[in-house]
Amino acid sequence: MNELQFFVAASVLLFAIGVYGLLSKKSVVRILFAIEIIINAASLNIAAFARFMPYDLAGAQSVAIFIIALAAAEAAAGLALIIEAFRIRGRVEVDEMDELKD
Amino acid sequence: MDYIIPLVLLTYTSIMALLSLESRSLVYGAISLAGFFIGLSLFFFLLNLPYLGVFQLLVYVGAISVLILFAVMVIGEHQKAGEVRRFRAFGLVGGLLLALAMAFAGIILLMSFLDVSFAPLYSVLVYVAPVVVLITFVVLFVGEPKGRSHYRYRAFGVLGAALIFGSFTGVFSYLGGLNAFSGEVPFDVGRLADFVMNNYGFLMVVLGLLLASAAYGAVALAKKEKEEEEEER
Repeated sequence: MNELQFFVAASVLLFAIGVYGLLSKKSVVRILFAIEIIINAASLNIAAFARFMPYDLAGAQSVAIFIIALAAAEAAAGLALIIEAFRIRGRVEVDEMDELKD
Repeated sequence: MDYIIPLVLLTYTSIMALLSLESRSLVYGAISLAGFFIGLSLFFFLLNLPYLGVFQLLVYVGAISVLILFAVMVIGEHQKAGEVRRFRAFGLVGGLLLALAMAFAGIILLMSFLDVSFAPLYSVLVYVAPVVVLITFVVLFVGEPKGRSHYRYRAFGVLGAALIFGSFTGVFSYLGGLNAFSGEVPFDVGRLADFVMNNYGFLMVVLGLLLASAAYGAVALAKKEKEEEEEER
């Protein structure tokens, strides 16, 4: 296993943990945690390729910085939505949010 | 390449990710998520991308973790009765594993600072930090604060936090100067700034506007309900 393979495997492991949380958790906050873990795994993957492939370091790093900034915006909006949902419903479990079905 | 440090870092990061999803309490989950972000920034330092690591620390650990903790405090925790005991066992195991990770970080610290003149200070830190961190976590996860002894736990918490900060600072400084990989690439922040502003200048402006609008929208969403309540009165 070379260096790039190790870091890609690491990011795949973190991505798998994130997908597990995304699929198994009912609380919206946990799902947001899982999304953050997935985003960070992708960021690590991009950083590893930036470091070990013979291309420009700056390009891939700028992509990773964009990812971090977008994740910050996503977290702010998502948490505001969670607080709003909590005020309306008193709970934040996704399996109870089924008004659109009726 | 020596795989020991990346493997330990991967173990720490994975444990933190799992703890953030599986711990019974949302607050501990949010704190574990902050630990996960710290682990990822250590990965960036290890990859010789220090700017990305610092950016990760500032944005994720400094801003997003605090935001998540704030939201969790507003929502409150919905702990169901009868599940507390399981959480304690889980927390104990997590605390032990974290203490092991901290002990390893301490050994790295010792190795890196042995030939420096202020080595004794760091070696004391190295041996004391894991023990205090272990005690802190056992107390935090297992102990029941009752009456005045509550303050003792707080003191442990503050001490543990200070030692965690010291250990992590040492690990950062060590990983920053580590030549673990073949073919080191010199890093240049100015080149990165050139690249971003020449190729993605407009995108940077759009991103800034998006962040500002996201912050504004978040405040508007969170504030709306209160204004409506006041109108009803």
